[in-house]
Amino acid sequence: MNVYLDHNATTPLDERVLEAMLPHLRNQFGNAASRHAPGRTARAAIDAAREQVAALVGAHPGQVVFTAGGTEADNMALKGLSACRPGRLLYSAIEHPAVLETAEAMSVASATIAVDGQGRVDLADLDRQLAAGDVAVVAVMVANNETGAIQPVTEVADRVRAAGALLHVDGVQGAGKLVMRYPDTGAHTLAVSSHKIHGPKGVGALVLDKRVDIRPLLHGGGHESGLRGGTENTAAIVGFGAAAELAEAERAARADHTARLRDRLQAGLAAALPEAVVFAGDVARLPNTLQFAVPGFDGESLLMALDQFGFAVSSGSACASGSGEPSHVLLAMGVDPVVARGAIRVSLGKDNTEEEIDRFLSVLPSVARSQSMPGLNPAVMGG
Amino acid sequence: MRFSEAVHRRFFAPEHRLDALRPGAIPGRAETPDACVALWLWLERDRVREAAFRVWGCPVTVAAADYVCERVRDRTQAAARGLTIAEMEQALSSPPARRSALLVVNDALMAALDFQTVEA
Amino acid sequence: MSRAGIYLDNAASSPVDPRVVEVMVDALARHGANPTAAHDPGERAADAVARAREPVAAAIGAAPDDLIWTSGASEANNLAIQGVAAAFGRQPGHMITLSTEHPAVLGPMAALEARGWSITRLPVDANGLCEPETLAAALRPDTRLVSVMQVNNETGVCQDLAAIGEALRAHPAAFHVDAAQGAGKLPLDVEVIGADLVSLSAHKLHGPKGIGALYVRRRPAPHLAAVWHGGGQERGLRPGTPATHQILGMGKAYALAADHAPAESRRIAALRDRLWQRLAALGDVVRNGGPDRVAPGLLNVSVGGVHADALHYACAVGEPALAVSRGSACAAGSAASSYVLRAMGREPALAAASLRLSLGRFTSAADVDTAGRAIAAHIERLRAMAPMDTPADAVVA
Repeated sequence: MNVYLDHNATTPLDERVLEAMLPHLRNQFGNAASRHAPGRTARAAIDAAREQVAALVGAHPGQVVFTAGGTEADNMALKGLSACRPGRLLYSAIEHPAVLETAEAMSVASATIAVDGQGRVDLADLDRQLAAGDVAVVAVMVANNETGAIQPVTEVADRVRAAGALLHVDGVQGAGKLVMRYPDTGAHTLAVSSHKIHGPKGVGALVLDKRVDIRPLLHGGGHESGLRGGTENTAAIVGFGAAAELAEAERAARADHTARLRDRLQAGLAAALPEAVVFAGDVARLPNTLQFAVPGFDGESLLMALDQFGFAVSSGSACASGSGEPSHVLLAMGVDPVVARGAIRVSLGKDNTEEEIDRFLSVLPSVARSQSMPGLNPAVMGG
Repeated sequence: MRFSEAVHRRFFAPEHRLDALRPGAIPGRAETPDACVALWLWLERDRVREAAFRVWGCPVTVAAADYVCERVRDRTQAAARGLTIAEMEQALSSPPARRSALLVVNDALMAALDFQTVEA
Repeated sequence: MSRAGIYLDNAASSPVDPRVVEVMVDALARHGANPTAAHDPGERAADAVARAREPVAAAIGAAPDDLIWTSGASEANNLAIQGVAAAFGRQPGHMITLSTEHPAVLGPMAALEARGWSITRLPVDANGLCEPETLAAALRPDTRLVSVMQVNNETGVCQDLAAIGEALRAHPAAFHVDAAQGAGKLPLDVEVIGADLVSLSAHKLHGPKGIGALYVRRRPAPHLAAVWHGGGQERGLRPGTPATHQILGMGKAYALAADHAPAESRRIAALRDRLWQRLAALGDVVRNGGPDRVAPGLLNVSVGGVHADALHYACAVGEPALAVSRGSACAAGSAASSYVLRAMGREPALAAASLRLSLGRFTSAADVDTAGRAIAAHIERLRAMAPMDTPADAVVA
């Protein structure tokens, strides 16, 4: 029996979402840009999904631009805003690679905003960097995908707007887990993704204020109000809409459920492995996320060993897994690289059970000890 | 993209399309780059006895021509002259964006009425 | 869609083959995990994705690892064009394309033009073809990319890619082919034509929307830089969590197309010819694109003596409802006449009064006969309603 504990990487598709998608895979095959009946059927389905996604983030449907995923939405925001507004780009040091690597690849001058030891954006550092002037765009995430630390987005937004700059918020991890309303975030653009909320992969959205100039990433065909070329992926968009509606309706229940399991896991961990370090443990976190390390343990080996027992967890961002590099998030928080290398992220979902948590806790200590690196584990070295 | 029921019905099954010419018709014609409307009126003293149309144009143009032919039958020429764009738009429930189609039909009607005046 | 309707718009999007749906539903239910994650469900998803590359690559004579998954052919076109431009950094160069290309090629090129790139849009002849010599003559030392589509999306005109590839062989410019409309239906071999980049679609081939691929030659590799960043997937050229179910659906669609071709092409071409004969019999109906160079599923006609809007409305909402297009679906929002037909020399009014009829795997002989009868009846009725033959002054007597 496999136990899936990696919901911040991706989530299983909800059966109700699949049901909503099926007609658009089977019979409703029109191109939403066509004016005939099949085309208009597709257009109507996309419009309905646009309303559902807008409702999830408290936006107006006209503010939702569908993309092929969160990564595209982040790319579109950073490149599109920067292309229309010259100046520097600031981003927090703990952003997802979709923001981090995009910023690094862009030809505009950029700098990172420091985070504190709990993995939250350092507002004093942001103030200093804004004061230096010439900042066009700032990017921060709603909550970190590894530690789950919730970021002070509204405080960031106040400062960014006061400085006359634009704010992009990566809301991929916040959607469906937190109350995340686009007008309240103060963001100019907000990225969301479908497959993190039990929707299909291959679809996401950029929520944006259309009064802000943005250059499209994909040109051609005039789709999505001219902001995103390419035939709309109707089935996936409908699935995203259905997932968004469910996430909004069940948000509180899911948050309560996962927080209860997370706290049970954290308490069990403290009892079984007292030397374990919990990251961002002192600040508000996503209800479903627990990232920890046991000093001296090797996270990659531990992950493989847990996999043998049927537990799917992550050492951090799935996008970087296999690289062997310690997490850039933990390093930015000032965590010792040796400790960071032992990090394990457990991210829970609505369908996880208490029994699964207890089974995880029953195997973790022995698996962890068998994978520890002798000579590095302070417990083994015997101080 | 479906037009109103009135436009739809008159476009697919107009009742006043000119099939064959009968003598005594007073013609009226109006054109734009996007439409060509020809109307024929058969008069009996002051009254329009019969009207028929031919159209090269969009569905609203066809529907408007059919409506106008129906509307002017058995009315005085003065009453026919009083037909307004607003009345046509309301009767057809046509979108404001297609008002140019109503104008060209109205122009054709006025041309026919004027044609008669000139001859007289 | 309306139950009674007849779908003749396969070039806009084609019905997903039920066997493709089966694969996708199975994938949605089973491969929920992120294929880039290291744990076991992640690995199974990665295996399935790897296998799906094979039939797609085989359709163009490429190796499975030569493909980059994208969200569709539009993204593939954007990646090819913007990616070549990005590889040349801040030094704007020159690109060549045809005036009849898809908006997903013309759009990114126009965006580059605004940033200082020089773009040559070559004319086509009355049959929609570009002579290889014309193309060769347009080459400059700083030409970085030549983009020519395999099959035109409005007319079905097939360019002579082998001859064009030959004309480009001595030049270092990358050769990009937008094969969204033709791949999997018509033979295409990247080695024969010497293509460096090829854009592929799934939803034009009875596969799902939202997935496509870009073939990127490995040796010699074209100068191509990533356009999107973050995550390192797809040889670093295309980040983002791969949409497993869509990739598997595309793989299945290409595998099925290979099983069906070329018998399917012959059947569809025969139906298309039958439809053409029905419409040609009306007189004053012109076929767009030289008949010997048009892909099997496409028939584009311009109809004399009828108003474009009346013809399209009659087809779309008449009985039975016909799902046909006035040109590309991408331009459907605008009432303007087709730029593709205008480039082939059609007058504006005639170009506007055009129908693109596109057939597919699920088009039956009965569909074609019913549609042909209905379209002919609409044309005859509208012509009988037109005033052209009865000038007003001729009837006053």
